[in-house]
Amino acid sequence: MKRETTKRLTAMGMSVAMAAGLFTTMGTTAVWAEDSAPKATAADNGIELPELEDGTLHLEVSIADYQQSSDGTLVQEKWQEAMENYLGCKLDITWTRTPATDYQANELVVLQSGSVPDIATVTKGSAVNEYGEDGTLLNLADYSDYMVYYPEYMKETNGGENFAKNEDGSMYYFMDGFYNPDDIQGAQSFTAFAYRFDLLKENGWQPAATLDEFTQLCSDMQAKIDDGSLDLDYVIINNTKDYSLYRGFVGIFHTWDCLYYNGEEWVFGPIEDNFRECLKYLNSLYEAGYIDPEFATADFNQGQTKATTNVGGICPTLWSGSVASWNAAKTDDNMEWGLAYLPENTEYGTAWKWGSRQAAKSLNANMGIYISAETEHPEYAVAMIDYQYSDEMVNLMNWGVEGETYTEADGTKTFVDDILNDATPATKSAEYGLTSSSVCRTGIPFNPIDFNAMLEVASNPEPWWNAEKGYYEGKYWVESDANGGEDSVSPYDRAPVTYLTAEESSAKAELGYGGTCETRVKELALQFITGENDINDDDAWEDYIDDIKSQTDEDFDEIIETLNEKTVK
Amino acid sequence: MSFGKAKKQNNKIHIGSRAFDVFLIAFMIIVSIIFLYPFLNVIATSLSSNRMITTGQVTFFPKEFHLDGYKALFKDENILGAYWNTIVIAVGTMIVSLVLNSLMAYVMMAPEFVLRKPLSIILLITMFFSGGTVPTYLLIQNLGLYDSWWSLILPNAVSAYNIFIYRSFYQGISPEIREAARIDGASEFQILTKIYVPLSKALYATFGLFSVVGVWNSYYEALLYIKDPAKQPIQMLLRKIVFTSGTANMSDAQQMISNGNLNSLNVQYACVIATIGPILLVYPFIQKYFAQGVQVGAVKG
Amino acid sequence: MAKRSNTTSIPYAAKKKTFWQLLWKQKALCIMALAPLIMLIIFKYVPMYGILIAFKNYKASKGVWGSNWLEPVLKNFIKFFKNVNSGQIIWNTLKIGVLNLLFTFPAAIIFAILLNELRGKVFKSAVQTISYIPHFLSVVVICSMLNGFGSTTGLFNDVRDFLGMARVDMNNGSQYFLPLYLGSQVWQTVGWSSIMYLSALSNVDVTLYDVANIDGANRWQKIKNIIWPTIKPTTTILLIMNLGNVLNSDYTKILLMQNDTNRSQLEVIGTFVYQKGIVEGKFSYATAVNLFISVIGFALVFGANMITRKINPENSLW
Repeated sequence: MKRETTKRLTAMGMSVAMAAGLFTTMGTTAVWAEDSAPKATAADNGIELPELEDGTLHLEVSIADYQQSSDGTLVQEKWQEAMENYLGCKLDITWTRTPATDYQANELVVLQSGSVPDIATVTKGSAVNEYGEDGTLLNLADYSDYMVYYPEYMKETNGGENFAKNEDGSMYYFMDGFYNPDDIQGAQSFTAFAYRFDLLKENGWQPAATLDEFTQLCSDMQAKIDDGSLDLDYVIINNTKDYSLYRGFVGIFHTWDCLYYNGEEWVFGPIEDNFRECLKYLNSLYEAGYIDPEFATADFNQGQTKATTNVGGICPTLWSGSVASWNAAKTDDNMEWGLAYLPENTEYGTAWKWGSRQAAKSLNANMGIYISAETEHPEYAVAMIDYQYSDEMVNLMNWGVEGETYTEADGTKTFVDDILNDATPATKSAEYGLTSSSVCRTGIPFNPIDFNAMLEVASNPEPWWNAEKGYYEGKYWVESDANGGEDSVSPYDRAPVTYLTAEESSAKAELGYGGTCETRVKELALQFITGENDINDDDAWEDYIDDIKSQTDEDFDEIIETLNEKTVK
Repeated sequence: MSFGKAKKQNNKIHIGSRAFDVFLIAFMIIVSIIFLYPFLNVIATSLSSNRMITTGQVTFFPKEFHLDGYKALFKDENILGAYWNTIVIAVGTMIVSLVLNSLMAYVMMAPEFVLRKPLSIILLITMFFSGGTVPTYLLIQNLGLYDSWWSLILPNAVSAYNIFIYRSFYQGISPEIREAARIDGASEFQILTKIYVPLSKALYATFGLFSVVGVWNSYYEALLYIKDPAKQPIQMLLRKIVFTSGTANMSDAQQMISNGNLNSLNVQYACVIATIGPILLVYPFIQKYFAQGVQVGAVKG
Repeated sequence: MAKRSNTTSIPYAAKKKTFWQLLWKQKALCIMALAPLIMLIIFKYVPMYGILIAFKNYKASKGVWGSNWLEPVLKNFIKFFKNVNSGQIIWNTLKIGVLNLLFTFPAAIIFAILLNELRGKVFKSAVQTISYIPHFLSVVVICSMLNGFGSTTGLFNDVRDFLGMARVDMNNGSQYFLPLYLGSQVWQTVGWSSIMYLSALSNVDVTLYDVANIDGANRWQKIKNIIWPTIKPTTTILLIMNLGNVLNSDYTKILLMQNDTNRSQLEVIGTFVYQKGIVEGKFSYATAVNLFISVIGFALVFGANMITRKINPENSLW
């Protein structure tokens, strides 16, 4: 019965044309290039797995599904083959696939109910530890004899094994791995300002490399707007009301807009003097009339409209990918949005960026995979997930099959033209079931992504600028690494391990993004930017700090103290 | 009062009444436009190009017309099955809740019933206090309703809110009819089914519609209790389609990969239309039960 | 023997019967109530133990029963009242809730009456159908449109411009929040809520119309003397029950309408619970605050019902 459902799903998940292509490849394993194919076995790795009664491992697996299901894809089939080969048994998996956004809503309810599937995706990170302590989840540390590859990831991560384990050495989920072979420490977003390149070129300006240059550029643009020679309403617009304008500026002042680790200790950024400096600067821009007054009230759709209809010339706070989508939707042929790394404040040096990738192998505590304590064959389940962290499996899931989805020459891998020449390479690669597409997750998510593979298909080039190269095209992750360099990696992104209880974590959440304090900051900081409250008035600033600190349920200073005490240095 | 004067007065009323009619029609036309505009905008947006949507140029009519949003919708082969599932769930919910609520409302309408007050309070409590998601989830699992449509039909079948309204409708039916039937030897159950139910067609049409629409729009419970994709209702599938169209969230890096001509709103709004369309078609069939005077004579004045 | 003849000849002697005797007599009604009652107990009352987490140091892993009681038991409630913002939050919630009831509730009745007055079957049915459409648009879609309409270049400002008023950013601050919120609430609910009254109106005694026509009654008199009495019971019941929802404002809508210029002025209990429960994961705290609203809602309905019983016992809940 279960089998049938799975099979039917497989059939439904594929378009007819694709299915035809797939079955041919499945039949001919000869295409399978010998050198790249996963061929390790647990036995070879010295793992002794107990005998299975009927030689078949039956598992119920519940996973978060991304935009395209991996069900029935080439890579998923290969994953199954490789897994069976590794474990030395037949695999009979009953999959439950839930769209990732809904999965999050569902996850805690399932955990709280206590009846969990054999293996499942984790999207709530360390929040699952609680369920491990009470015996719902398997303590993976007890099964380290069945792991070969995962320990390697633990070692390379910032903080080492401490990072992946709890204070008492227990470990209730495999964390999401990331493989960054070329050590590209690029960032996710909010690391570059967007400028109207066409207007800059036309007027002989260029994006700002320093904050002073930025101020000057704003003033120059404003002058041209005022005399009518520049068809814009304002110099600066914002991307969406959901992100405060200051978010793009805090890194320039070497502070943060919520709780962060500054290299020595945990601090709440918005009450630091640097943050006040930042607000002073924004206030000066606002007073000068450079900023669109709707910067805090227009939503995402309106922000898009503003960007594409000549409302503003600079958008400092924005998600990566925005520029590409604006350029795709422009109505004016000359319009060209582009990016330049955050301008440098000479007082502080290179601006910090947010969410930069670690070099080499790393783990992400927010996501992962847990195993039920009740599962019949924990040894197999552990060995199976562990194998997903092997180089050959990472290669399979990210690059696919040599000759089929990628080619390798001189140690450099490239996807085949069929993928790269597609209008949307990400979607095309997802049809093969490649995890690197970012829109499809093969195997049991979350398993390691190969950054190079991901950059090839899932990152669109956007117009960039820097002082040396001038105007050019580049990808956000790569350029935010190249232009920011080592100095731009904020200490927050390399924070040490902190062991917290559930209550301490929820107290910490009050100071994090979306928490009570941070939301209050957004509101009060805005009043300083618009001049409704005087940023130069020390009393007003003191009141602001008191107000922020009064928001927490527990004592504000104590929360930060506890964090610092519990940090392993 | 002379004959002529009376006639004159009648004419006056007539003219006033006509003016009111004209005013009313004009008012209703304006109101309808206000009701309709956002909906027309949703339709227009679902059919317009990415460029026109992004630059905010879509109002009443599609601009740079295309059907890609709907193609994304109907590309999913499960959609008809999901519609069917929803219809079955909706009809099931409708029947179960109409039957159970009628029984309870009738009992509570009976003025002589000794448990009337305690039952009212028992009902009222459920309107305000609930145990939350996890206890209900565990209950569904323990009852063996998990992954079954009963998990969507049963938990909310009995509704205190509805029962109180049913009861107020029943109270509008003359108690003498009930007395008379009892003297004729009819049982309570027969009085309910043979007299009260037929006299409350408008009530049943209304609440039938409400419960169908309630099911039509809900997804959260299905998300929790339905595992088998073959059993999923339409809203669950539509959410999946919006998600699969690749533009539902910005939480992950590079999620805003532009998808050529397709704007996220194309798919989202196509899903809105896919939800509303069938319900709008149902409405005219129900409307006839709202006709006045169906129960002439049976109702107290 | 004598007793029996007593009961048949004097119906009110039934009072002398004990409760159990009466219950036995009304067993038919009891049996009819049984099925719905069992459903209520299973699906509503059994899970109700979940409320206990409001008083417990809830550890999901230990379950509701296994978790320890808080010290003091009312800790979460004390915490809520000690919160610097609770005064403002409660005030906002009340203000928005009461205004919402004041606007949306009569609007539906008036709309139903006007629809009823409309001549022309096709036109009437078209208007009706159109009026339900807003009910089906999700709050996300509506708020996104509202945000656009209220912006300086939006529809509402085009209207202001047309009327000779200056353009303003209506999304800024809380000045325009209430008109936008209440207006869209009325817009969204009026058609759908009017169905209930239209349905009640089908109960109208049409012979009364004939009498009224003979008496030469005008439109207003007919509405006052025929239509209003017909929908009054439904109206009373709905009003009593809706009073209990006064504190349950549509928090998703408010969340979507919030921005950095107005957040604290628009904070209501619903958004607070969302923040604590969903964003910060404090389940027992969120449950406690929810329980607080429920108790007040219940008390309001209870009180409203007591008053109704004194004035008009026929329309009370019990």
